[in-house]
Amino acid sequence: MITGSYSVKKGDYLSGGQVSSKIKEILSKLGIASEIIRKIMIAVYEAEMNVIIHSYGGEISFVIDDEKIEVTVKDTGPGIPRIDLAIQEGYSTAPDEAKEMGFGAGMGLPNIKKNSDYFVIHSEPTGTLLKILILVKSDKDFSKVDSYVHVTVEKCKKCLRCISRCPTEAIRLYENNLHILSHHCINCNECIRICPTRVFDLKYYEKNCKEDKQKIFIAPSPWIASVLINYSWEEFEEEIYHKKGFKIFPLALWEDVLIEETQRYIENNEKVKFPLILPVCPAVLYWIQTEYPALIENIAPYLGPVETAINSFPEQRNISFVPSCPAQMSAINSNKNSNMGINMIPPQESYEVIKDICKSINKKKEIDKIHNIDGKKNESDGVITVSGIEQVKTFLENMEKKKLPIHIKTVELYACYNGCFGSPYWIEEPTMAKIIFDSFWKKQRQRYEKKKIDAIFRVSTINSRKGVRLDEDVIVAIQKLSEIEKINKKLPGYDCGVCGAPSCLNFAEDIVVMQKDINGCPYLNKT
Amino acid sequence: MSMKLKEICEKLDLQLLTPEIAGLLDREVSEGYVSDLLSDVLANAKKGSILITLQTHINVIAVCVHAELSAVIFIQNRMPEENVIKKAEQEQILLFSSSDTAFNIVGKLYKLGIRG
Repeated sequence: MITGSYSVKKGDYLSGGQVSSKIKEILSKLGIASEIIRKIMIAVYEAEMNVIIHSYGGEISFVIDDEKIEVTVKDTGPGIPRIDLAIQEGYSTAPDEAKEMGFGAGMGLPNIKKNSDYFVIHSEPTGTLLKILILVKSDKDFSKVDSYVHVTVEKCKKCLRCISRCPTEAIRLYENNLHILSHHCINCNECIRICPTRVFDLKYYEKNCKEDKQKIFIAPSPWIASVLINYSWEEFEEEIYHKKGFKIFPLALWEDVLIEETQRYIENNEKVKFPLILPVCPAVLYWIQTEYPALIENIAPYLGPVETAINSFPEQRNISFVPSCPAQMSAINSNKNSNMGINMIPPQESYEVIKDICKSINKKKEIDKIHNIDGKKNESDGVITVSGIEQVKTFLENMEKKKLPIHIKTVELYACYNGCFGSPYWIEEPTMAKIIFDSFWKKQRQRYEKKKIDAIFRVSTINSRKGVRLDEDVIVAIQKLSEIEKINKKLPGYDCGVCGAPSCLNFAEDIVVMQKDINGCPYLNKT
Repeated sequence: MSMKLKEICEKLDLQLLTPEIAGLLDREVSEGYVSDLLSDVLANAKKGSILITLQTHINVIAVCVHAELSAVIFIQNRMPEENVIKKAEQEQILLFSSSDTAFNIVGKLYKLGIRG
């Protein structure tokens, strides 16, 4: 790994290109393909000119490893008031001085976007942070989603429930070997929820956080709810800071800002595709990528709350988070930058934290009475929520066929019933937990408004996920397809799952692609 | 169709501003780009192109380096400062000057078979 860092001065037009030239020198020595170097240089040069033209000065740093180059551009302000406009070609706020030199034509950010594989921009009046990632090896595919579900085969009693439950037919049980086809897995909680013997769990990754003066704890709403049931939040918050040094930021802050920002986006853009899907649940996004690619353009152009939350602390070495599902883990792992230290706390362990902290504070004497229950987040925002895997499936199917019975502007889709409150990792009943949290949040939100919270514009495009192709060669693929159909006709069509595949068609595919034995079908030869 | 920079220089009656660096005038060029917007050059000029522009400041050289262009023709007798020429020499980019307008220069290059 090679790293470096250079400072860039405000208004220093004459030095423009020095940083990018230095990076180029290093890249050339590493023997990186010249086409890739050219892409990197254009992106970095534009970023460098942006700092010179628009900011009070800043710093450009980079990290190169054998897969990618990651460039971080940081300035000290004054920030970009409208990122959504700034990434449109032709929009410019550059001074005349820059325009006379042939810059400031509103092509900077669009040029960076065009030449990078992934880029995130985050801006506040105190500074703008731009992260550019360019793959050095071109074979890495950003539409690829890894499965963050861990399987402990030894616990499996072969009840087959998971196989028929999985919404994307990603689970197989062949020869006592239970496994997940990772190119189909959308990281939802369904197998985790249905399995009676806890075969499935979150796949934990090593914690890479470092000791830091500030320990940030991004708290998911269901976790807060489980404290609220018995304890006062103010006391709990004080105690957890005192005992563990955790400074708590509720994840709901970023959920709210996503809705507000999307509202603004709708007002300011003429070409919005309705209904706009809020990227609240990463599992639903993976599902859309996998099975409903036509709906990708309906996804609101922001990062989800979890990804936004961790990116709001780009320099923190110690950020803790409790994931509610494998999808959130996947979203964090693909959106964190290399400076961050993330501490993923398993939900079970997070309950231990609550227990430990609550030893020293008093239990509430009586339970809260909550009046005025209403399910809506805000009367005027007009956001519709659909939750639960079956409900979301029906909704997405109807949406794809353009058969939604009402005109919907914005929709939140959650794979779990009642959103993350319905994750199998949270033990409180989801409806009650949600009411308790919503009522708390209405009253207490303003306490957290000191930290400036922004939505982050999603600049990289979401691609449809490539399934496995039957064969690289189209002719062979067609042959295989007709073979699959032939075999499928031989099978009984009961979709019983006893062979280890969720349906007869899936089994026929596996016979052709994975060379499974057709005699695995319990009905064949016996009727 | 490609053409040596030397030939282009002769046929368009260009003035070479950079010192004659060994071998550079023999570089073959087949494409060109005309623009005064440097971001536009970065975004759209093809590698190895010859750039026609009225901008003469030092950033033009940086853009040529990053977009991997081979030479620049400054239009209507515009002259870069000495430090720009020095930088171009370091970066092995040839600079020319022409008394013609951009329109005419492009027309002549097109006639010679250079495309954009």
